[in-house]
Amino acid sequence: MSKNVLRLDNITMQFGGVVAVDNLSLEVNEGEIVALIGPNGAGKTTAFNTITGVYEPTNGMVSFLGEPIVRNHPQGKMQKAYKGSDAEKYTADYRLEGLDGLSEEERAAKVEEEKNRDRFAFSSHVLNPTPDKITKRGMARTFQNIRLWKSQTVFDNVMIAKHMLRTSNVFSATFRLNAKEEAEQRAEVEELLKIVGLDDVKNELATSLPYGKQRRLEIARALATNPQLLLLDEPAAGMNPQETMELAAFIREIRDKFQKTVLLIEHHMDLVMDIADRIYVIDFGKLIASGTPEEIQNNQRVIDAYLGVEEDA
Amino acid sequence: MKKKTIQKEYIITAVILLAILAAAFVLDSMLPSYHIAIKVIKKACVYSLVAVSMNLLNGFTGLFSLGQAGFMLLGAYSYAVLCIPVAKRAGVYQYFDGGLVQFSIPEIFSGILGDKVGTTVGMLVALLIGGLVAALFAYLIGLPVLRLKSDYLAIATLGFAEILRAFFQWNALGPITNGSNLLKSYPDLSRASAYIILAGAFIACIVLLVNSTYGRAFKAIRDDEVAAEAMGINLAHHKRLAFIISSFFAGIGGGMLAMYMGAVQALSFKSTMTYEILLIVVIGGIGSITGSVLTSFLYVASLEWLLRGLDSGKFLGISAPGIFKNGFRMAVVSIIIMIVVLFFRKGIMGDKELPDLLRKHGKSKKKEDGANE
Amino acid sequence: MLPYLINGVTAGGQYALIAIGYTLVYGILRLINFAHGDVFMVAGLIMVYASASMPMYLALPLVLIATVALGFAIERAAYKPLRQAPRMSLMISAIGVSYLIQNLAFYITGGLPQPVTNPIPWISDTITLFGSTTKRVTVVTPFLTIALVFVLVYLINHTRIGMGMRAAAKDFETAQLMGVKINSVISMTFVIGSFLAAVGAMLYFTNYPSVAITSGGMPGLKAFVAAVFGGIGSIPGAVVGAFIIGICEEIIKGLGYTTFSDAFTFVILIIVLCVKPTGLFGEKVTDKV
Repeated sequence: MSKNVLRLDNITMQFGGVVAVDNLSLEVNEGEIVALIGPNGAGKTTAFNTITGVYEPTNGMVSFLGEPIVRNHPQGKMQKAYKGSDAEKYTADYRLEGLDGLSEEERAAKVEEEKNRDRFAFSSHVLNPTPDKITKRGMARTFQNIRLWKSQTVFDNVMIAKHMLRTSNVFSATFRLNAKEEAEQRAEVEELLKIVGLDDVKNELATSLPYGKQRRLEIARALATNPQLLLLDEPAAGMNPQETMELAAFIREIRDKFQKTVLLIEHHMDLVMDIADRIYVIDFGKLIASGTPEEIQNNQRVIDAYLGVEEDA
Repeated sequence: MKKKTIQKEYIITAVILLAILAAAFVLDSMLPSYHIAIKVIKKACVYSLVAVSMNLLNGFTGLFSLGQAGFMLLGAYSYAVLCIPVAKRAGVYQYFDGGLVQFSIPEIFSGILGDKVGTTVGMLVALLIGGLVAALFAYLIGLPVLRLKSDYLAIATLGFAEILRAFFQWNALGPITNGSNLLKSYPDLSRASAYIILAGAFIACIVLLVNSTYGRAFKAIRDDEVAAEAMGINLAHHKRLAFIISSFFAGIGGGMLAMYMGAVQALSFKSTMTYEILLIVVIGGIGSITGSVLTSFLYVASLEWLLRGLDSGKFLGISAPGIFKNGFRMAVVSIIIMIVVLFFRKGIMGDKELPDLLRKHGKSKKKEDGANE
Repeated sequence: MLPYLINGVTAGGQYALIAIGYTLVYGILRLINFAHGDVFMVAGLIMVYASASMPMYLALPLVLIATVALGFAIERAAYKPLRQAPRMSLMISAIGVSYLIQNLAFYITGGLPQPVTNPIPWISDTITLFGSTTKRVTVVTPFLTIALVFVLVYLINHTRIGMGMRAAAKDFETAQLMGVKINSVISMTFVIGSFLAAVGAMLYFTNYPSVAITSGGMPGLKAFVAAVFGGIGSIPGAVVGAFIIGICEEIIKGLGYTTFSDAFTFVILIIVLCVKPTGLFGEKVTDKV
């Protein structure tokens, strides 16, 4: 039985009236490569941003290695105002909205569902750390639109990611009292660049690299923070078939050699079907299917979502 | 092979810097301390330090702050208040019964270490205290202000500098700040080489910081805040750090400015002073320490010395008192500044440093070698 | 206290006329036009020179035309070339222009404050108001300001160019794609801003004995604070903010803390920025990750 690395419970992310992620729950276990797929605008990147602390979710909880790291509820910040018996009264009001015209059973089911969503309302504190705190727990990500540090070399891009692992303070770093740590980190970065095949361009500016190598560098940068879980946001976007094949091999290598767990968002179906152990499919923010690549390939709802269904079909 | 070339550039850089220092020593022994060349070097050293401290924030961390004059004011006043000899305080603070502070740090140290060494040590201590005062204020100001974005940060820091200036002119603080009157009669370093060593040492600290793991983190924040945060860099912590360190050195620069000017008054630390420093940083190249230093020297030398003729009727042998009158020099300089700002946006150095220039030279040479093989 | 209140309303009216220039430009270009206060100062200087050398009915239009030309020229020369550049470059350019104008003014005036020897008649007459003597401009300013603001708001809401300005303020790039002539809209913004600054300068310097090259800096910064206070980009906001700041400032002077009348403005600025950065009437701007 492998360990649970990442777990989302009832994550909902609302922007004004738009529900980008709707009650999403999923799990990633140690050593797995899990893919999150869905049509454009389905809420995949929003889900990533919620996991990594960029957004504060409207509702739900994210746990990492069994510990909650992000947690919120629409009224989470008001928990002090609704303590004890008041809380019950409040949740009751909340659940009674929009139940008119339903049968007794439907009503009970709806209330049950709402109750399930409300699990985090009054039982616990709101958690909303900044992204850097989450990265420090051992989860690193890449970005859909490559976000390398433009004025820095390939080497420095990876080296900067090592900054969060420092034990030096600003004084000791300035006066080079951390020379040993710095040398160790430099050696690690050299090693890492060799493994990912970027050591021949390490002194080039990051932005001067071809697209595929920039994506590779972003992954290397994320790996430099020594994460247990790697979150890849469309790593194959804009790659040609050759580069995509290399990427597939590379992601497998990350899992097998570095013992990392991987959660990736991808549009490229060939890649996903090739490397993913399990797949979650979302559409309009809602989870519509999950399972092994074979199960997903034969799932009618997934096919509909991707191919589009006629309005009244 | 490669390592050797890198070392060579740093050796050449060190040689250049030592040559400058040696030249300053020679000038010191040849020229009287009131000579214009000595004055130019002193003032340029002060401006270099302040410009580099501003570059650390605006150029390397990407925080657009316009509070430099305020932090310089803090450093200058700290230095002046702590260094005025006790015997002269009655005269300086004539409207405030000789003031509240009744000790002088250089005098305390000269009591312990002897006159000459003690005074110098005391002056250094007072400079550092000035820096610490500025850093403390930066910490307090940074708490609310650093959350603001780009131009709002600029205008808020500018506002803080103005508030400080008003406070230091307040009569109720007169026993310490002497109200709106001059603070003077404090000791000065007479040698240009002393300024070079002091400013050089502090700038060296900034260079070391910029090239340390923290400096790299600052640059990451400048290049892409979102990516920096995603890679575990605590934005609030690092921004505050850059702000405090920059203000610390601006405070020391302010103290040195007080030394150079011989008298300080809160009135002179206007936002125009910040603008002046900012424009020096821009012309030198945002993100280049070499550029800031070079431009400081160019700027001060042109204004105080080379272009003097533009104000006094005769320039380059052309005599035209109708045009070359008071203020023409500044007008010419500000037109040049605008040309650089509009058409040479990278400034003199871009984001390159002196060793980079030497390296570039080496690289092209190496390429030629490769072609020959 | 009453005289201070009246002075405060007057100061507020003058700040409002400058603040509109800031708020319009910021609304469209997202630029703090640091040179705007100096345009105001130059308008004052032109008034001094013009009124000394020609009859008033020629001098006043000349001040307006010359100031508008200056504002237009600054935009074309210093801001237009930087349209694609990062915002910081634009701000640095604005600071550079401010520095340039002050230094040129220093050269032309010889660094001496230019005395207002020939103030505009009628509004500079001394009158008695509630038992205290003041100049008529004190009474005229707030009314003239309000009238001008109404005209401006009408123009923005009911003319083609006004529509272009609103569109550009909402979304610069889309407005451009939709065929709004962005350059003429921006020029118009600077023309309006400079025109109002010129009117403000006429009123402001009627109350002062002389125009110095630094005269523009403080009123300029205060007007900017007023614009931020009211919610930058909003014209009514700028006007309300300006009146509040003008009145508070005069009251502080009345209480005997003249040293702090300038600092107080910045205290307001920092409090507003930290508590409600969008100001009183500003729209919320969301950052996209």
